[in-house]
Amino acid sequence: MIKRGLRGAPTSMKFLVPLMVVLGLVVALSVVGCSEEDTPVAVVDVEKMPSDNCVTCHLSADTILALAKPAEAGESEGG
Amino acid sequence: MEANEKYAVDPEFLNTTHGELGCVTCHGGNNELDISSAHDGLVKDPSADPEGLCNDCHGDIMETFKDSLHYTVSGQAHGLAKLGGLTELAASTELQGVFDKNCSSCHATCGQCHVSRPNAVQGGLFAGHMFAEKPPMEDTCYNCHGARNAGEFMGRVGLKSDAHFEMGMDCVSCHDVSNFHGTGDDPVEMFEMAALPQCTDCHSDVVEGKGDILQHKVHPEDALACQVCHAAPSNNCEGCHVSVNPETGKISSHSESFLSFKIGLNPDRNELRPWKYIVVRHVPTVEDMLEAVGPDLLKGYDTVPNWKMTPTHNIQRQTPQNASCDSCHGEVKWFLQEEDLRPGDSEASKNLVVPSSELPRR
Repeated sequence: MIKRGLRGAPTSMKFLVPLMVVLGLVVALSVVGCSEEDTPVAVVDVEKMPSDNCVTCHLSADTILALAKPAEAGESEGG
Repeated sequence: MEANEKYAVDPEFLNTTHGELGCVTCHGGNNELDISSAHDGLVKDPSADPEGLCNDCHGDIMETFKDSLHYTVSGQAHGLAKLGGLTELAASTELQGVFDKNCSSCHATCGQCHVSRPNAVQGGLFAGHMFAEKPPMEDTCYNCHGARNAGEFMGRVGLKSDAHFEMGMDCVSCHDVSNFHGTGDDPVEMFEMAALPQCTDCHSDVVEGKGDILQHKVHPEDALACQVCHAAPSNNCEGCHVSVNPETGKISSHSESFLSFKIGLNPDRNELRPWKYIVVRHVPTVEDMLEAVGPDLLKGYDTVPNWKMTPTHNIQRQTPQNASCDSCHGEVKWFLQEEDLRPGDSEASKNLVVPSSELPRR
């Protein structure tokens, strides 16, 4: 279709127009997003529970270390 | 692993599909700031129940996983039953107790591969609770299989790492996902699994009658497992004894290890493993292994070999035994002989000994 539309156009246009089309597609895809991370996953049919207080501690390694029981800090590893 | 490493959550996790569910949705407990009440009713491993939360979205995987060897550990149950001279482990209260209090703790759950390290090494998040579609070999596989296959593959046990590891491969490069998630029709023992990796899956150019390698041409079909020529010495164990904690009833075990490379006879040639000669490894079982639990529990001890076929995971292109024809055909030391059996090895172990008539003449 592009080739037909460019029949009779200057030579420079014959190279420039397809290039612009390809670049446009790349930009469009990057805006819309098509990475694996954005791929829709199965709809989760569970009730989401608020957990803001949990993450208050668990996002902070220092807080966890301060609150950890002595037995938990430095547990030996099994075989 | 310190507590901050084990339990700290990466902020990025909260933006993932699993993270958006909220901690309490999967782990129970309470959304409170007080550490005690927050953890009241906490479910440490929400994936422990195969019919539980994971099943809501990943039902197709859970359907097969609940019967897989990684989840049921039925290979160990079956092996223990054979040692007890039983067809069903449940026929012995003592042996069933040993399995429940020791062997079964090796079973895996979704979370113990995809989120945290396994319970066998006290767990701990390996990437701030981010879910890994492909479990990291070092944090997961190695922690359960490190004493032998995974440890040898990575060069942490034995003399040399596997040639495939050196090329950047990991466990799942060879092992199909069904080896972990099951097929829905899983056998009771690992070696009965049809989907285990075969060297020829990739190296089809060196099977009988193909290729230019003389050694591959001159040995008769089904004579040798690939490991016979291409494996390095592997980690063997002996002298296992269990002890029972009088307060908790928990059972723990201890054994000694030694490096060895032995070629034995395949006592169970079949379509999947047809070779006459295989590489064998000594397993730690001894007849009085469970003496601390009860007397004379291993009534089937003599029917089970102490030397087993091993899919050694330290493959080398060049080994001492394949350096030349004479390196193997002139060396009796590679072959399992009566004198190699350990004191107390079972009668069935003799079935793997290479008869003197088949040993190299020199």
